[in-house]
Amino acid sequence: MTLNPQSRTAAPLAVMAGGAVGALVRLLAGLSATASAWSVPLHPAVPVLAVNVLGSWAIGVVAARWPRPPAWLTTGVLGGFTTFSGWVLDVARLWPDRPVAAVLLGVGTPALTVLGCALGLRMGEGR
Amino acid sequence: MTLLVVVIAAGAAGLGSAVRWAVLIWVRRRGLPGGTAWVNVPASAVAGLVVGVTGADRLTDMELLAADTAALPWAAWAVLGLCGGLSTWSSLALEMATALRDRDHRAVVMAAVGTVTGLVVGAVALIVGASA
Repeated sequence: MTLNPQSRTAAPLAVMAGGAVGALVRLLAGLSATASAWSVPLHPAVPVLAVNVLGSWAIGVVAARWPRPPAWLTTGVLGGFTTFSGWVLDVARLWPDRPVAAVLLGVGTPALTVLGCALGLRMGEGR
Repeated sequence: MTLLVVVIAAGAAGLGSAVRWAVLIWVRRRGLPGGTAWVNVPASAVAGLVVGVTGADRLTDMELLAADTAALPWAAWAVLGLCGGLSTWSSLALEMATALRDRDHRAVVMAAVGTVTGLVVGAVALIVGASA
């Protein structure tokens, strides 16, 4: 049996697999970036921000290259890789002790992800 | 054991991604406004509640993954996995970037309202969960 990712039954499975792979990379990136083995471990909000900006850039490239990008890649891999709820929690957890950092993350994430996506769209169009 | 928690969380994120795919197709077919807010707002609400109820708001994501108490792996799977996979920034950034490029002011406002709503709902859910 061959699985055609465009078929009705295989599409959700392909999205599920893609989302799991994207999330696995997100979690491993977070673990490695904040590992105490580093001389200066990063704040956990930093890898989440980096993941969201990188994923937003990538979806721009993909959307510009393909008129109908495959769901396993955009909705799956890139959707599972990036996280909105993670950003919300990071802002909420920073707020009590580091309100300035919380506001910077709150405003910076939308700004940088949209800029990253716009850059990706331009690069994908080959301009 | 952290790696096992990570792998299960990734599996839960796959499930969340499939749910997001189904919800967003439904939203598009019905011609409803809001786009990714349909998944981002509920994902933020659930994530905030779980983190608040389990007292994990004092823990970082990675402490959550490494925690060896019985309740916290479930919090990691629900928050970092299911909610992390259900929610997305990449599609939201694409909605915003294309709306700005096309000067679609209504879509820009909708995306901004959805983003702020998710932030407020998630923060309120965390406070409610923590005080419950």
